Amino acid sequence: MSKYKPTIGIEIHTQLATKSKMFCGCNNDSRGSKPNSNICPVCMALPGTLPVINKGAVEMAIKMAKGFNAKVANVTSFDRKNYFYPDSPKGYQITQMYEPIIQDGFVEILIDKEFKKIGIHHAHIEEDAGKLTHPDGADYSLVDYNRAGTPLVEIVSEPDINSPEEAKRYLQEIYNIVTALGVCNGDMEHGNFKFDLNVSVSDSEELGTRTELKNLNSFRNAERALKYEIQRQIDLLESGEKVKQETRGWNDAKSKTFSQRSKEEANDYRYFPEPDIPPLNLSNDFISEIQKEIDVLPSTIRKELLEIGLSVDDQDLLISQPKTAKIFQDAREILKKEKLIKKAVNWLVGDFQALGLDDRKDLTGKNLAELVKLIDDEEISSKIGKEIFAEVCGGEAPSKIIDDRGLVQVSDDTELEKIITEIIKNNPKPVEDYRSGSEKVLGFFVGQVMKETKGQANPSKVNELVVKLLKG
Amino acid sequence: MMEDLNYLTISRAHDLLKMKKITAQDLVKFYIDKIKKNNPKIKAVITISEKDALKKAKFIDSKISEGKEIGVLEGIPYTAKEMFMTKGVKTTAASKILNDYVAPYSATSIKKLEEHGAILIAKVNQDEFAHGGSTENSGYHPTHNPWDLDRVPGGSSGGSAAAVAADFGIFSLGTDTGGSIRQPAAYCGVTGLKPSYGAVSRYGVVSMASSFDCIGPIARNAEDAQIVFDAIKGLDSKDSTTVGYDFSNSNDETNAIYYQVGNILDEEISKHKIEGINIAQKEPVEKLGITNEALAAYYVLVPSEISSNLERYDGIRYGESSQKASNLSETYFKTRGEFFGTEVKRRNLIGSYALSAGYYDAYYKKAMQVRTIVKEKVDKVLEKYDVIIVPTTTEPAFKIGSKSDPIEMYKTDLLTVFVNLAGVPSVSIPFGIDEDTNLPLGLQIIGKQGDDLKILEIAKKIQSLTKYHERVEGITL
Ligand SMILES: [Zn+2]
Repeated sequence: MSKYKPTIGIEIHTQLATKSKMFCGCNNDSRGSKPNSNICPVCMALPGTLPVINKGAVEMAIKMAKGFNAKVANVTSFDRKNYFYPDSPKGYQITQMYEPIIQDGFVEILIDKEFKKIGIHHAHIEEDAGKLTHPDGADYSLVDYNRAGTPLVEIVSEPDINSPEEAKRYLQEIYNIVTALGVCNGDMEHGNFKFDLNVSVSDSEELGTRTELKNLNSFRNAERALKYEIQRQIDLLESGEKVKQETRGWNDAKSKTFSQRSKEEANDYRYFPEPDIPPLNLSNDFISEIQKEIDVLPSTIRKELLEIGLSVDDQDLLISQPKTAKIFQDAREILKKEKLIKKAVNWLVGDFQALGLDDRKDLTGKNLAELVKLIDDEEISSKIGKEIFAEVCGGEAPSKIIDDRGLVQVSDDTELEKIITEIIKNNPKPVEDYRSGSEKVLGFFVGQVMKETKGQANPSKVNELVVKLLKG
Repeated sequence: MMEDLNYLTISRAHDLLKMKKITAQDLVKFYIDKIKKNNPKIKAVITISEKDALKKAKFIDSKISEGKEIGVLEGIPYTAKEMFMTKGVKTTAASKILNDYVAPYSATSIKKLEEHGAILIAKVNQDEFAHGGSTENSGYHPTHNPWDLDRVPGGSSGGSAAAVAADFGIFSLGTDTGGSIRQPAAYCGVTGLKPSYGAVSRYGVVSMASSFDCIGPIARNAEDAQIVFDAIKGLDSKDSTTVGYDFSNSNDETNAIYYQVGNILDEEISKHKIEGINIAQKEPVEKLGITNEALAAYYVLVPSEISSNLERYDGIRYGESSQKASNLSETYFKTRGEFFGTEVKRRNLIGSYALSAGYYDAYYKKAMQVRTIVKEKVDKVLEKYDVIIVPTTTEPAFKIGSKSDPIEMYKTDLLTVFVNLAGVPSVSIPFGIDEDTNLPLGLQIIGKQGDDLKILEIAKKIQSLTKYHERVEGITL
């Protein structure tokens, strides 16, 4: 490949799934709300109001730390980032500049079947701003403060990422972790998970000048934007030009990055410690109490799936669906045998995915395990299994469904023999054909038996008996 | 009216109400009449809340006539500085930028007083956003000292101190960031308490410098100050900087260190032997060795916080907005240019400068280190002595317009600022009369953090002996 090595660092903004906003009691979910209906004196920065930390947000950050193999600061504090803009009601954003709550972690991403560690420098809590809209042709702008004060955690990676693919996998891994932990709803359409990419290229040990690609919200675009930007920087260097340190945006339609703001225009944010919020002391006991609530981490699930030889795509699929991963975990616990666990996974990455979210929301690991066992024990055929799967996903226990409907597989020889004898008696022609050497009429007889038994007969048993009885 | 209602204390007014010698409505009317008559000379009051006050008084009167018990603050008329949010009554912080601003909620301290039945009768003047020491920086008009109308009442809670001295209500709420309760209290011959940092909720009070601001009473005497402090103190879930102090008090003999400032009050202090208070040590204030350093650090840190706290006044969501602006940046520049006063702009500039990249370490961070040292020094002295006694100011109230140099004005905080850096409580009481001017002087009693009740107890003892707080004959009304 090229002699240039890309170096990428990523800042991810995840919106926390708390009930209320970061520093006031307003509802944190404004989807479907009228503009400026989810506001109060605090998040509108009326004179005299003061911020109060949302404990739920702190607890979520503590959970994240565990997901990122990171340290939780025992003393964490908040700072002000000052800037004037209509979306910033106080004229400053409360963030964490000096003592972020999450420090010094890493995640592992799977690249070419090997795990690569990507360092997380820190992650800090901050508040989101309001939303500005510029009506077409109007000489004014509108501000909606519903989003102002929404809690965010900004996750800052080390510059350990060296390709667009690694960047994409890193983003997915972080996404998987925060959604699995239930601390972020992961609704990328609504800006729950946004990121800025810092990228430079260099043909030596020394890092090149970096540019920042701001405000992306899809994994695919991150990969595309990085590919484009890396090539753009290489082309500049190859033609003897310099890369300018600047902020660039991604134009999806044109598949290009474009210059937004140069370093010289950068703001001086006049950071200083937030005097309205005293430093927060987090004892180790408190931290472990919170982290105890975590069921299982995506990285653990990945390793389990890798062990049973599941493809990376299927691993990603399961991990990206925390609820599905939980079903897998529970079924795995019950089934224990690798052969059966694989079958459970096959249901989850197959038929399960074909169902609508609402139709599959009541599947439990216990019911899935039961289904797998019933089929394995030949209590029911896999055909019946497929037929009742939707109902199982609707919350019914498989055993109850087959009991209610008498769907237990018929493997009883005498009963099957009785049915087969009757069929032979009523179909002299195909019997004749078989006896004169036509093997393919076997299928006809098996089909008739299945029809007669409403699919409950054990197909291999039927085959065996049909042959035996035809031969007389 | 049979009773003389002039210069009532809280407990005297309470007794009169209880004994049905007067009604709460009489009281409210008495003060509002007095304001209407004398405020044109003093200009302490910005807004009178007559209708609302009378309505509340009527409610309390019916309670009394039904023979119900009333609390000590019930029916007691008071005023509050323009910094306090008062639902339904204009709150301007004495700034043009909040012309006609009416808050949709009340400050925690105002709510607590309301729950105790105290009646807000008026909002009073101050330096704009509390930036100043004379109330000359008000966006509306200066306030005059009731002892000498040519002189300032001090500041920034000058309206509050002047209101109490002029008998516009029984007490007033003020704010103290670097001396803004104590200095005007001293200049106006009244009692002012700056509580321990975090003892009283700041919620609903315009922030000047969040890590310094304290809310406290200005009153006729230490006993009244204590009654009001008792009502407004305590943890508030809306202000995370409130502290749950254990305000225990003891009646043990107090060991005091007295810091002399020139010969101000020196003779007075030697003259009075107060039982239970032992002046164990006496030395010049220079030996404390922090007053100048504290002043310098204060005027870096406070403007820094101010520059950030004032960013919300941007002409977008509330308050005044320039009509001359034609785009966003003009909205910011012109609104703040037109509606902020000179001193507010000056502090904004100083603060923005101190916080900017490249200067942060040299100014803000350095000043924070000085703040830590000052606190350590004060705490160390207070480990050895129960209280520090020191004059509140180096001189009595000065003439309006006489301190045009801002540095000269800042120096009037010399003896009060270090207390705010240390976060400890201090009460200023009237003590002695300046011989040249016949104006009141003030004495501070400074205690350990959380010793608010203790310093008030000492102040009460001193006042029962000296009676300086009862001198009103110098008031020119
Ligand atoms: Zn709110």
